[in-house]
Amino acid sequence: MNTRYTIVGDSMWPAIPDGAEVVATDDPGAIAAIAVGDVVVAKHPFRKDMVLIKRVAELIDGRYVLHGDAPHGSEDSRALGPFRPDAIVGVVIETQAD
Amino acid sequence: MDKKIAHAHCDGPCGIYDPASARVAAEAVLSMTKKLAALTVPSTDDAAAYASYSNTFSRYIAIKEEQAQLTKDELLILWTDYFKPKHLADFPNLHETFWNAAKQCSECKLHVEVAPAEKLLDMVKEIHEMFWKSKGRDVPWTTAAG
Repeated sequence: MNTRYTIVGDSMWPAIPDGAEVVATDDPGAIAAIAVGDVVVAKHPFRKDMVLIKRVAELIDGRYVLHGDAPHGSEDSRALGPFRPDAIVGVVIETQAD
Repeated sequence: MDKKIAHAHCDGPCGIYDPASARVAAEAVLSMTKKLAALTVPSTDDAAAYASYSNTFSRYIAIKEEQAQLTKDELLILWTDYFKPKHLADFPNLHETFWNAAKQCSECKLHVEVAPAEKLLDMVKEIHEMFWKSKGRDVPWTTAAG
């Protein structure tokens, strides 16, 4: 199933700016095929009901190291650690920025 | 298709920014400066009057110093936390504007003159306009002192 997400925040700037919309799929095949460089939607490890959008920087022992694109900083695996596979809720397949 | 929000936070505690904090502090600097400029030094023969004057003078100076530093702190938060590289496209003079405004805070500490304090408030107004334009909102400039 595809889900449309509105982006809040600047950590994926400039590829995905604040206010942009993306479409992500939760197709198990697409999630299983996630590779470095893909943009994914993942559950925040300790903030209930919050999902993050980040880019896969590395795969370590079956876990995903997620980083934001923005040079000025991002709340991501550098602070939160690698994400477990069950935290990944979608892979971005389409981006619509103004 | 479901519609949801995905967060792309830069920092865990990021969120609330408003140049009003800098504006209130800069207004206090101007207010203290005006009060200092309006003081009349009493005769040193009148010990009670001179003590009262010295106390008032010292308090105005202390508040001016403190509020000028607070203005600088609030400006630096906007400059280094709120504004991002993407804003430089719309505001190419952003760094110079903040740098000059931060230096103006120090100017206000150095002098008891109304003109530098008024200039600081003008600079904060320029940053107020820059800030709200960056958020796509038209927020009028209003001062507490009217």
